[in-house]
Amino acid sequence: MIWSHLEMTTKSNKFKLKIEANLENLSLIHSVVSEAMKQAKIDAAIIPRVLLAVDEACTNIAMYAYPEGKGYIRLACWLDHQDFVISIEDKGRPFDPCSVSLPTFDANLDDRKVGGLGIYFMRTFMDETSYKYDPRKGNQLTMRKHVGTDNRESL
Amino acid sequence: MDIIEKNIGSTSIVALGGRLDAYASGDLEQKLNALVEADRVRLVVNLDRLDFISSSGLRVLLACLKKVRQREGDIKLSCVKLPVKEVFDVAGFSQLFSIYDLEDAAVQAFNKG
Repeated sequence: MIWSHLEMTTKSNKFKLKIEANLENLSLIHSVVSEAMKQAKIDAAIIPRVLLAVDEACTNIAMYAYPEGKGYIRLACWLDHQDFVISIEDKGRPFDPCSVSLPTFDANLDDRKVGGLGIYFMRTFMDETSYKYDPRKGNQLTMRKHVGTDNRESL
Repeated sequence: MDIIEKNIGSTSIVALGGRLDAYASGDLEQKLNALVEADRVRLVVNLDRLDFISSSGLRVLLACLKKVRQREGDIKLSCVKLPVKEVFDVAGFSQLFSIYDLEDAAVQAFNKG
């Protein structure tokens, strides 16, 4: 865990995290987003689905965004009415996970491909995933999960 | 993630705990490859204490499943609980692997086979 490169704030009902993009930090990202969802009193069955989508998005950044060396992930999450929203930004190579074609699942083991599952999980477990590239901010992925209305509090 | 390994006869049991993410999957890949290279291809992977699995973990399990089946072996999973079970289901992996409620039942299934 590279704590010296971690900045976390919770201003204006948002959890924000800036952290070095590497695989070792996935568990810390998991903890932060998990805590944000627990504080928002989101249904416990929904939390692991969102955590998986976030993990897959951050794994892609850690593995592919910065081939030249180190870089950062900026993550923010907040409640927006009935949705839990996660914004994930990096300044690495432009990559649109929403444009990747989804894998087809072959029941035959020999034909079963092992790629593309991460993006499949992001799009299956979240209700909405959108991407844009900004020359200044870099890759901007936004994912939304409908979390219902029952008895939650603002972050 | 922690990996605990033990042998019962010709069956090796690999019990996983914690998070099987892209950071941890390299360790598991090494461990499973070492077993296959030692010709231990009857594997029970116990997921009782596994809290989280991502696509990287699934990839390692699938790659190993292909290797052991080529050598007349198998991977049998035991104690697959939510939320890990849901990930297996959504990925279509529940059809690829034999899954047992209990570790003993998975071991027994090898002895019957």
